[in-house]
Amino acid sequence: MIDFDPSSFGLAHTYQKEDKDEINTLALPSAPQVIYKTLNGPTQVNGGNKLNNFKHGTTTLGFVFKEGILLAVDSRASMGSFLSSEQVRKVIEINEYLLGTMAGGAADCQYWLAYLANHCRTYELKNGSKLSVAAASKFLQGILIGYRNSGLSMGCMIAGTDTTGQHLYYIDNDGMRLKGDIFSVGSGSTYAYGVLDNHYRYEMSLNEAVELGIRAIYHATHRDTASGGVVRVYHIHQNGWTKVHDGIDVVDLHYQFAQQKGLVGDGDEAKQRLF
Amino acid sequence: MDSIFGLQGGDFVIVACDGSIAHSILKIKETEDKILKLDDHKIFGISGEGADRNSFGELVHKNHSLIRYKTGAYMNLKETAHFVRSMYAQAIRSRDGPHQCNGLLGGVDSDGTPSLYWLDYLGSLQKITRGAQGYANYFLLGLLDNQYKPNLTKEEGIEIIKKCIKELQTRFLIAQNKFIVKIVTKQGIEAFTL
Repeated sequence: MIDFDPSSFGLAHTYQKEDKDEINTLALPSAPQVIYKTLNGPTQVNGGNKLNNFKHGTTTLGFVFKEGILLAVDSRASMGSFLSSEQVRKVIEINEYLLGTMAGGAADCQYWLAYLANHCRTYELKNGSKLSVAAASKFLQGILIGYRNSGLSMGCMIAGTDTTGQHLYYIDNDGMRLKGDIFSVGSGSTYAYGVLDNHYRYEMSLNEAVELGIRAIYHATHRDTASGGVVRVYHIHQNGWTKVHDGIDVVDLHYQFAQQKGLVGDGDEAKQRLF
Repeated sequence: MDSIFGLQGGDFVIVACDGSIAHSILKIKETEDKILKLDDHKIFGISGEGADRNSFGELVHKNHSLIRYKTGAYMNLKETAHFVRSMYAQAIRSRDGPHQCNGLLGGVDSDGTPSLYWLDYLGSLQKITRGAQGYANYFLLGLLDNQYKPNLTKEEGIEIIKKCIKELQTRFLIAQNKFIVKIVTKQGIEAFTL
C-alpha cells in the first residue's frame, strides 16, 4: 500500500481512504500536482454564463478502417451567436504517433493534451519505449476523473498508433473512456453520424475514407450553426500520422456537392421562387 | 439506462447486459462490455453512468487481485460479494459520495455451487436466483419469476435469457439491440452476443 502524503498534492481533495479496514485497498488514482482554479467559482454547465457556454460547438469525427484511422474536424469557434474564429485547429498534434481532437472547452483540451504530450515524452525517455495509445488515453482519463466536479469541458478523441496497431478512444470530462471504431463528437455529431453510419465500411480505401470524412463534416457544418469554417483531415497509419487536408472551405464543398447532383446550391430545391 | 440481468441455474450462472452507451440523445457505442471478469469463475455486471461504472469496476478488479496476491488464497463467491459490498459501504459517507453504480455478481465456486448476488450503490447485498438492475427490473422480474424453476440446465437458462432480451426489445422505450451474455460454469466463462 503506497502511503500518499496529502500535502504533496495541489488539489484540496485526494482519494486517500482511511486506513481503518483490515485489508489495505488500492486507492483510485489521484489528480496530478497541478493547481487548476476555475474562474469565479464552479462553472455551471448548462445554465451558466452565455459567453463561456461554447461547450460543444463543433463537429469532430474519427473512424478506424483498413488503412488506419481517419480524423476529420471543422474549424469554427463561436461565442453564442458571435463567430470568434473560422480557423481553429481542432486536431492537436500530441506527438508523432498520437493525435487528439478538441471539442468543448478549447483551453481545457489544449492544456491537458499538452500535459499528456509531456507525460508521453517523459515516459519514452525513462522507459525506452513509447507509451501505448491505451495507456496514454487511460492517463488522460485518470486526470479527468480527478477533476470531475470542477467544471472541465472536454469531449476529445485520442487516436494513435503503437506496436499493436492503430486505436481510437473517446474520452470526456465525466471521466468516460471508450474504445471504438466510429466516433463523432460535438453539436454537429448527430448530422455527421447520419452520413458516417450510412457509408462506413471497414474495407474502404484511403481515398474513400478521406471522401467520407469530408462529406460527413460538410453535412454537419451545413445544418449545425455552431460548426463551419474549413475541414481538416488527418490519417493515422503504422508509421505515425499524415495531414491529408489542411483546410478545405465548406462553402466551396457546398457548391461542389450541389453541382455533382445537378443543383445550383442556392437552397431553393423546393422551388418557392421567392427571388 | 443500462440493462443488466441474470439467472442462477443448477450448475451455472448467467449475467447479461446491453451493449449501449448513450450521451443525451446519441448512442455512442453499441458494443460495450459491461460485465467484468474478476477471475476465471466470477463475473460482475455493472450498471451505471460511464466513468463510475468503469472506475468502480477497475477498483473492484484490482483490489480483488491484490487480496489474492497478498493472502495467497482465492476468495469464494460469498467472500467476494461481501468484499465488494464493503467497498460500496465504505464510500457512502465519504467525501466523494457513494459509487454511482449497481451490480450483479455471479460465479461458480470450486466445488461447483453457483451463486448470484445483487449489489446496490449504497451497499445492499442480497443472494438471489434471478434478478436485474435498472429499468430492466420492471420488464423482466415478472418474466424471470414465471420462467424460473430450480436446477435449470444451461440450455434452459439461455432460452430464458433470450426471452428476456425479446421482452426488452418489445416493451422498453429505449432501443437496445445488442446484448452481451456471459455464462459461468465449473469449466469457466463463455461469452457471446445476442
